Order: sequence, then C-alpha cells, then structure tokens
Amino acid sequence: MRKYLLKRIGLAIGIVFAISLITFIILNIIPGDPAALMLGDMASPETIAKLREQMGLDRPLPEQYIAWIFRLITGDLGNSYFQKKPVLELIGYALYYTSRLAICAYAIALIIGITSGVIAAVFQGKAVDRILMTIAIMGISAPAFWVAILLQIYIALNFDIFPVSGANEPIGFVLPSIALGSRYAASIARITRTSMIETMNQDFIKTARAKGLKNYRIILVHALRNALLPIVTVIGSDIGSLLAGAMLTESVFNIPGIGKLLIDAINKRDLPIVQGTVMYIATVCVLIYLIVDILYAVIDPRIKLGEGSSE
Amino acid sequence: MDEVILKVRDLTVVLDSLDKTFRILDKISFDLKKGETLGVVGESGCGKSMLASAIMGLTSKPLRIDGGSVVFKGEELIGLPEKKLRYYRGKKIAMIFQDPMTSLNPIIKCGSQIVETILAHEKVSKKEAKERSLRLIREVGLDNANEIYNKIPAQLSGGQRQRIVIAMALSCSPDLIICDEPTTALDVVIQKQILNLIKRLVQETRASCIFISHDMGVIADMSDKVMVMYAGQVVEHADQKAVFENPAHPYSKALQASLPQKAKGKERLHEIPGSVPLPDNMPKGCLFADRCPLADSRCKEQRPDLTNNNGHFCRCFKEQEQIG
Repeated sequence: MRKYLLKRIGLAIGIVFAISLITFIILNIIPGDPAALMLGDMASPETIAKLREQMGLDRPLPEQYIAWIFRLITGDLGNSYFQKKPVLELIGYALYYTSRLAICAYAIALIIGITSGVIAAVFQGKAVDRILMTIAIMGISAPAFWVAILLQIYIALNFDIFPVSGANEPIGFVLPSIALGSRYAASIARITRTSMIETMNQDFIKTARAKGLKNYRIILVHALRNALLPIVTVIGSDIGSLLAGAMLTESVFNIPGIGKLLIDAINKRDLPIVQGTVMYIATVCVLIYLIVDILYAVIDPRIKLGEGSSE
Repeated sequence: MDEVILKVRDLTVVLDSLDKTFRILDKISFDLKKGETLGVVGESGCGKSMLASAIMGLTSKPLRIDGGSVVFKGEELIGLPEKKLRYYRGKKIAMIFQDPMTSLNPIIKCGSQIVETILAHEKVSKKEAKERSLRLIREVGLDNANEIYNKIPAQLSGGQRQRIVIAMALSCSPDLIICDEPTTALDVVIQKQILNLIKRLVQETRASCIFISHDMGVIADMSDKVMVMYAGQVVEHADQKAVFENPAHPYSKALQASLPQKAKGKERLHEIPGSVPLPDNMPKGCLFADRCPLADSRCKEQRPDLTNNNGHFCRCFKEQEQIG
C-alpha cells in the first residue's frame, strides 16, 4: 500500500509541474502585452517599458518561469491586473460558489444515477429498463446550458421560489444543480447499469443466491459493491471537471464561480487570473485522480496486494 | 427403511431461443435417501450442472424449468415462490460449486461470507455467527482460523478457498449438499484432500449428497448410487457397485474404459470418438448412437426408453435385447 501511494503521489507532482510549464509557455506565446493592456491605448512607450520592468516582463522567459514557480509554491499567484486583488483570494471566493454547485449537482447525479442504474439492471430488458435508459440518453445528449435555459423559462419564471439567476441564497442553487447534474446522472446511470449486469452474471452471485440470501442483499452487498469499481473512476473525473467550474451553467445562472472567473479573465486578458485558474484546475484534477486511485484500493482490497497477489 | 428426502420426477429444463425451444434436461427422475450419496457422471455438456441448478430453483433466463417435480422432504419445490425457496437454499439444501476462484465474492472477507449465510437463516447474534464460522473454518481443516476469517479470497490458495466454500455450505447443517464438480478446478493432491473432507463431513452430518463429476474414478470413490447422464438424459442409474462392476450402457462402459487406472501397462487410453450432440442438433434415434460401437439401424431411427432391470436402469436397445 505504501509503495502504491508513493508512486501515485510522485506521478501527481510530476504532472502538475508539466502543466505549469505548458501553461506558462502558451500564455507567453499568445500575442498581446499585459503592460500595454493595463495602461490602455493612451500610454506612451516609455511608461509601458517602465511597467514591464516593474512587472519583471523584460527578463528572459526561463527566469520568469522559475520566479513564477517559486511564488506558486509559496501560494502567491500574483495580483489581478484589473481587480487589483490577489488571484488566490479571487479563486477562493469563486471556489466557494463552484464547490457548492458541484457538490449539490453531483449529489443529485449520484443518487439518481446509481439508483436508476441499479433498477434498470435488475429489470434488464423490461419496460422500466427501457424507459430509464431512454431518459438517460436524452440526459447525456442535452447540453447543460440548454437544460439551464429551459429550467429558467419553465420553472424559475413560473414558480416564485426559484430565482432566475444569482446564488445568494441556497434555493438559488437548486435549478443550476439540476441543470448541471442531469448529464452526470445520466452517464452514471448507464455505467452503473452495464457494470451491474456484468456483475450479476458472475459465479459468486449464483453462490449468494444458493446461500438463500435476500434479493436486496445480493443486489446491494454482493453485486453493487463489485459493480462500483468502474463507477468510482468516472466519479473522479466528473468531480474534477465539476470543480473546474461549469462555465456555461455558471454564466447562464450568473453564479460567480471558477468557470465564470476564468471566462471573464480570458476576455479581459487578465493573465495572472488565467494562469492561476488554470493551475488550480490542473491541480484539482490531478488531486482528484490521486484520491480515486486511493479509493480504488480501499474498495477493492486486491489492489492493495499489488503484483504479488495470486490473481 | 430410510426415508426418501429428495424425490425428482420427470424434471425437464428447456432453453428458449428466439424461434425455438431446446430441451436441455429430459425427464430426469431419481430418489435420494437420507445419508445417501448419488453420483452424477457424464461428459461436459450433459446437463449435470443444470440438474443441480434446477433442483435449487436457480435456473435463470434463457433456461426454464418446463415440467416435472422436485419434492424435498414432502414439499414440492417447483413453482414455489422465491421467498419460500430461499428458506431451502443454504439452510436445507447447500451447494458447493466448481470453481472456488469465482464462486466467492472477491471483495468480501471469507469469514463474513460464512457469517452472512448463518445470519440469513438463523436468529443468532453476530457474535455467535462469527464463533460458529471460526469453528467451521477449523472443521474444514484450516488451522489459523482467526487469520483466515479476515482474509479476502485472493489471499487464499484454491484449496483453501474450496474449504471456505465447504464451510459455507455446512454452516446451517443442511440435509442435502449438492457438490457440482467441487474438485475439477483443483490440482490432484488437493483434490484428494477435498474429496476426503467432503466424504467425512457428509458421513458425520448424515446429510444426503448429490455429487456431480465427469471423473468416473471420483464418482466410484464418493457415491452409493450412480446416475450416468448423456446429452440431458439419464442413460444408466443403479447402485455404485452395479454400475462399476456390471455397466449396462455402452456409454458407461466407454467412460470406464477411459479411466487411466483401468488401462493396463502401455495400453493406449480408450477414448470415445466424437462429442456430445448439441441441443440444436440432436440425432433422431438414440442420442449416443453416433458414438456407439454397438449401434445399428434401429438405434439410429428410434429412441430407447429407460428400462428397469431389477433396480438397474438403462436406456439401450442392445441391453434390452440381451435381457429380453
């Protein structure tokens, strides 16, 4: 287990560094001078040059990168060009909204997804199965922002309890969560179904039946826990992308989350925010995958044994 | 004398395909007395395992029980609702499966898998169930019971896993144990150990046993009565001694001739040409006719019935001619 952990953690750190390098290079290749942008059209070349010097933009790129990395490690992501606030603080503020939305959306997705996946698998081939899977296909095909707009038009405008946009009260999260979660619910339902059907055909399920166990116990304890393994993998990547911010959903409902922060920063060329947000998203994704790998070992004890096991 | 605890009559299992229905088990009938072991032998694809599943009501789509009766201790099991069947499964009728690598849940501790069987059928505390499981683990010949209890199947060897499966089967002191090729997936030395263990436990518990195997040697060792199956039919059924010393059906003779012990010296092992006919391609006459050295035109045209000759059942025209 320890060897397994160290290997995963080492790999994770390597990936984050690689991403930081790529981010830095891309942002320095794209045209546009941040100093000129900050000072506006009227600035003289001298003032721009002075600001560039102040910001360290005149120094060679490798030096800039190393300086940036060192600041990154100490948690200093720089200041926003326009909002004049530390990027870290802005991300933290956005993260509050994004994570709330992500948790609500994913909780809905997990509950609906796993439940309907299990039901569909148990009633494989019957009407319930077909109806659920048809809904799931529709759920996967419908873009979140479109569902979001539909919810605004048909629910928010007709029922006063749901605000059309904004997220100052908890109730404001309900519709965005449904809009964002429905797609994930649909894909979780499909994976759960497939995985459950596969597991239900295994020999040990027959053993469980031959032991005279109750059906719910066979399904939930024997089948579902084995069937959860592939589900955990998607859960990881899903949460990763959710914490990276749902740009469209956040924009439609005007929720000041990570996605909205990034889009606004890109539009204004607020490079420190873009850099910081991208690094944040990368780190979150890598971290989530790390957690998934560890969770995998917890759910499936065979992995802990490593290559030395008899399988 | 001894009471009959299992009475199977005309048990028939069919396979539903899109346009046709195939008969997989064809009117199987037999009685099993208390404490008796019935050996069921035949090549792969003869329907032996299907018989085991059918008795326990575990046939699942696309297979279906299509008539017949299974009376266990006076109660008809065919057509019984799931809820009532559950009472019999595990508690009254236990099953030991072929491959211990796949018949145990890979992510649940071995001990817990035994405990849950006990808890499913008896109103005992978790602690009592655990203690009984530990006792069972010791009883099936695993010494460090406490350690084994906490292990998952992947941490045990094949033989150890099969012992766990046996412990699980014995956990509620069943009246009938169905062993479906319990040693096929194990190597020879372990096979012998497991067979002796099953034999000893069956004797000690006075349970009846249906022992399924394709190995005539194992069947000879384990059974009181022997039922030889071929392509879903019973072709011979009699006392163990009668079947082995005086086999009536050409298939039984051929099976015995293919045993290594029977071949003397450098004599080549006997083999039966061809293979078991598939359900969608059954011969018109006797199912074994295509592979039978004695078959004549009548065998290829008509199907023989199972006839009783003083308790020795056989399904063969040639045999009938000899007696008649």
